[in-house]
Amino acid sequence: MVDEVYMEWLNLPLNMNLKAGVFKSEFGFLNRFHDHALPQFDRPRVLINMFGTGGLGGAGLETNFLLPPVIAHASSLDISVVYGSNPQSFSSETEAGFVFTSQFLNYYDLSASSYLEIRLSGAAGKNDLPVGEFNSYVGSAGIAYKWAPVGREKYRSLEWKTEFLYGLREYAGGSYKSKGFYSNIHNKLGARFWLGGRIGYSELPYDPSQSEWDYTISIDFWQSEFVLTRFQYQYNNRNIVNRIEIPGPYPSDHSFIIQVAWAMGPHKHEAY
Amino acid sequence: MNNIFARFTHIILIALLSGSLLVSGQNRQQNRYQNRGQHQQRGNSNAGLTIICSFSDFATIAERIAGSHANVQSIAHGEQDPHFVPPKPSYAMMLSDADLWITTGMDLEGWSTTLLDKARNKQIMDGEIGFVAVSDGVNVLQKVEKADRTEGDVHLMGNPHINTGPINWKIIATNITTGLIKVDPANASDYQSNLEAFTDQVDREMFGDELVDIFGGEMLSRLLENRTLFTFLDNEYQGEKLTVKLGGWQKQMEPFRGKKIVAYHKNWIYFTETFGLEVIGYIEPKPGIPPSAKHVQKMIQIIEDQNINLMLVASYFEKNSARMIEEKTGIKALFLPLFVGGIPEVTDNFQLVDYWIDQIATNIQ
Repeated sequence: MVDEVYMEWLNLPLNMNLKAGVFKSEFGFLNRFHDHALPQFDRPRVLINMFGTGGLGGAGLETNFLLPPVIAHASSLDISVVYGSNPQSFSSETEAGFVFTSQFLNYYDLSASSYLEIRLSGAAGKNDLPVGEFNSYVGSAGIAYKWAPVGREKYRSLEWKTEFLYGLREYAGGSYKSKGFYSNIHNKLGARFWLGGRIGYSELPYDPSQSEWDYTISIDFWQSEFVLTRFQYQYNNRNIVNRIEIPGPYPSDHSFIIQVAWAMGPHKHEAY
Repeated sequence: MNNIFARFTHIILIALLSGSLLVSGQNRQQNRYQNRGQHQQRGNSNAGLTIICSFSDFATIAERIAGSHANVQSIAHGEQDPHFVPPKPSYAMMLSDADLWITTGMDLEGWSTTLLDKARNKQIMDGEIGFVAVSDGVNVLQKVEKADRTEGDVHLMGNPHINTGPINWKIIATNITTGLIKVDPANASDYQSNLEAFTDQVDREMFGDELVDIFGGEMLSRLLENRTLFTFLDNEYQGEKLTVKLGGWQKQMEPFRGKKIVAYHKNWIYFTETFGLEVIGYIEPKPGIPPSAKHVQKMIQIIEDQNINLMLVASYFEKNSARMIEEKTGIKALFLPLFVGGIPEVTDNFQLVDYWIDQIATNIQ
């Protein structure tokens, strides 16, 4: 399956880059990540519950502005509009079913070996459940810290990402307010081994009385820069009885996952 | 609910408007904001041009050529693995303000594409006036015959570690000079004269004053690259062999020509070719692939069978494998900085090669 197909025009007026095509929107830390590049096998439950397993994206336009670094060492603003519904927060498939997103990113160098990043993201669109056309909104605030000692990046690093999400979904008689978060640590122990952990909490955007916690631990083995084997244990503690599009029951469960991913092409240097 | 919707709409509109106002107020030429990131800065901060280099080795050469006309900075730290420099947003901010971007021009700086895409500086994009690929004209070694990942982390355009060959510096400096003249033609004569002085220094450090005065650096460099220098120096001139007149780094390394060594990674090939050392094996089984126990055992066998006593390791690599082999075979594992600034006392390219040669001469037996 092709996740993204888009063209990007660089260096346009107003310090703007423009993207057109099918893509994942800039929203928080992990929405843009393709599945193979996630720090765990799966996305945090709060992202799945808010945007579905495919994340927030679709066909549309996205602009990225590089801002003057007034309050940070680097700042940027992303604004996008995509036509891409998901059954969770933005379920409308009518012509009004566009999803608008924006993200304000601030990056701070703490030292040559460490940095801090703060992202504020928002998404607005429509939902059509149970019947009608209602507004839906999701906002997020995230913070990330990374330490990678200069000259030893290949062997040691520690990355921590935490993101809080808040959803507001209108319906005929009022609105649902849901919330959730995830906190993820990824620790490089050597050239080949990573140890990861994640904790998360999420309420369903269409019924916040239903919720779930997830606890995850993973060990990654990189045979080379291009071949990954991952072992992941996950415990999902669910308080869920009814979900859209996913047949029940939904008991709490333990899972053990083995993931193998390999890649072709030149160096991968997407993340920093 | 309509109120809430109106409020969100306002927020989005305000975000759009404020973003547009902020960016439209930014004039790159008139309002040069300072990057506060952790980059390497050198040279004259009040100078007219801003030059950003991928590596410190290129920066020290650029500084020599540009003189007082430029403020030169480099992105990668001297002790950093050149393949894996994190493309931080603050580096993109450095590039947003650059008049010249100096890079190897091969596929070593894979991380730089991300930065250039984010920098919003059309002038320094590949093919534009402010883009300098210093490898243009370099005799690239180890070009790949089979370009797939079964060969490890190969470089499709050949071995990109051109900075380890001092003869290459002259081509690097020439390319930098060309780039400087393009963006600042008014000072072309200064750049040309600085290039000549730099080239002359490379030749004299490489071959010594006497030979350079007689034959010129260009001819000697060509002989060296053709591997005929020492045959040529066997000839007599004014009653004595020319070898007697050899000086500089070549004289220092002459006793070790033909000596077999091993290396951790393929980043010394230009150095070993220049000074006649023969690398017979690598600790990495394939480029970029960490050594397995089986491969380490194989290397131990080779080292013992061929009585190898020196291993070159760029200091950013892990040290456990090299030290373990050192303990088992008695070979000397020499951890050397690959770039200027890799250790504090090495502040330019000449000091870097001085350091390499001193360390090798001390430790090779």
